[in-house]
Amino acid sequence: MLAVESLELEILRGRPRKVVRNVSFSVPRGRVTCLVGESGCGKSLTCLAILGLLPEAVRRTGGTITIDGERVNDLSPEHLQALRGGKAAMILQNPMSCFDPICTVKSHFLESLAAHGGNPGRLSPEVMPESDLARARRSLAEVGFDSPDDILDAYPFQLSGGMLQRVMVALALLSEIRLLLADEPTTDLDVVSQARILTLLDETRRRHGMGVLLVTHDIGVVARMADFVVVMHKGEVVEQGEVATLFAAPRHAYTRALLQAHLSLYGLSFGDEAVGTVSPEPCLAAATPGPVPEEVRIR
Amino acid sequence: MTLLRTLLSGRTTRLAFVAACAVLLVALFAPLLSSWDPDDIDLSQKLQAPSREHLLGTDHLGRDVLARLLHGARASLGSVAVIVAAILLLSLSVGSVAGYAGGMVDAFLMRLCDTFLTFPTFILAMFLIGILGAGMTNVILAIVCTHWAWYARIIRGLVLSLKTREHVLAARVAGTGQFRLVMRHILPGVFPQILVLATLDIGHMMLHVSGLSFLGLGVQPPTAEWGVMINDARQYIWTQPQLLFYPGLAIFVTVMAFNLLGDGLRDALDPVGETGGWGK
Ligand SMILES: Nc1ncnc2c1ncn2[C@@H]1O[C@H](COP(=O)(O)OP(=O)(O)O)[C@@H](O)[C@H]1O
Ligand SMILES: [Mg+2]
Repeated sequence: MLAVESLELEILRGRPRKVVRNVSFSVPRGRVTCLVGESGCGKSLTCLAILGLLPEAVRRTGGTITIDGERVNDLSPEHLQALRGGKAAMILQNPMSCFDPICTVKSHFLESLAAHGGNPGRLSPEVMPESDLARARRSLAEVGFDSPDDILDAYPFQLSGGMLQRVMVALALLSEIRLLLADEPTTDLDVVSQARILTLLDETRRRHGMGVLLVTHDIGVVARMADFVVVMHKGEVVEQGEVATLFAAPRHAYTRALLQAHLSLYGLSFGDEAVGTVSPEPCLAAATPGPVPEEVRIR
Repeated sequence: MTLLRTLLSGRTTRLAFVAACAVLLVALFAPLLSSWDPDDIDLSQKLQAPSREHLLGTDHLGRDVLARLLHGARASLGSVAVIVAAILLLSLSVGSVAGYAGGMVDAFLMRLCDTFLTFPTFILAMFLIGILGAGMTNVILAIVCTHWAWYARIIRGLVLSLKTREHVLAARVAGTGQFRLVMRHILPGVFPQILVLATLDIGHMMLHVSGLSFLGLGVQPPTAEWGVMINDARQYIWTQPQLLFYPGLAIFVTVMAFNLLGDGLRDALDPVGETGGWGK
């Protein structure tokens, strides 16, 4: 679905420096690939590069990105624009700042619809055609809103972070996307909202069969969601593989440190002598939050 | 509307708002407010004291001072309106293109702005008038030339900071096109700030217009304009000081009103800039 090969990104400001070096990984259809690593190691820039949205100060100096057989590097700006939100969508970290404060949720839907096969040109929320409105409602219902119309009429500041994050998923689901990038979608949310968003992402992936690239630095999230894990450290991929294998036998020192840091939260340890022999079960058990109680499930 | 309510909660701003509206109404309805023609010369009636007929008396050519004062609001506000509109048009296009495009385009447009910023208003006005002749058009041209670049720079700065906001990125992620991005997500964030700036500057521009007209470079006599009126009254400063006083007061009140209104607007809009919480 998505293949990133030897991606190289360089920051132009000041003395040029490479922030992402030789990063290769792939995200298969219908699976969740987790991209983990500490803050500032280049996870977000990698995501932005995939959609061709690098900030001005950052440039891709090498490597190729392929989405669904299409080389993103070769696409014209118009094709890229059609790709964003059409084939691939992205969910950002801080839902509170991702909505234009002066536009209602409806306007945001209108805009995404206009960009992707809705009625173009018409951008006044009052004249949203019924077919588009139905699409928006369906999408909102899918992410668990009981009364989509109330949400459509709300301004972003009237909704909580968790609700906005679900709205963001709903926006992504307007088109039949093949690839969903989620850049730390739960980092800024409270625990209950986190669980709800993760469940939602999982259900969505299962229903639509899209590939998901989930960026996180929370091993708990990895344990719960991932099929594959890619570990980044200082701009390079230091280790990748299936989640069970990786947790059972982390080869790289950084991966080990990451797991250790997580386990120590639960008073467990991951001694060097045990590496390789320890079964993944205790890690996973410690890392996985329990099932979400029924009453906090999506209403 | 809530903005208006916040704006009018302060007493000073309320007063300024009323004064500014009054001047605007006067400018719009000047012919209805006085039965005299402001340009109607009657030398037999010159320098009359206030009377039932001429509420504020007459000037050295026997013209009704009140009528000239009321029509003067038209000339002053009218020219300022043209100036502000032209400045906004120029600076919004140049500023947003520079800020949004960045790179070479930005560098080029900003050097262009720097060039314009080096001209002092009065010098450029005299230069233009020296070449093209005196007249309101040239004064407007001079003021626009020397002021638009300030606005363009500020707008560029605002666009630069707005375009890195996450909701702009989110809109791009969703596949929104460039034009729509600028029109719907960036410029709406620029407008409130520019509105404040423009309101604060109305008084400033008005002083330029009246000042240049006073020097005989702008609005030409006999057209009624406050600067022209002060110039006309100059020779009678000792005998008829009220002839200087009325247009002076009109300029003072108008400039003051727009400045205070601008201040009030800034205060009313400021929390928005901080939190992004509109229309609560
Ligand atoms: N717009 C930018 N301009 C300059 N440097 C940037 C920019 N965005 C990110 N960086 C730098 O690139 C590196 C990687 O950032 P990022 O991909 O955001 O890390 P993270 O893994 O936390 O998401 C950081 O060192 C950061 O300082
Ligand atoms: Mg990040």
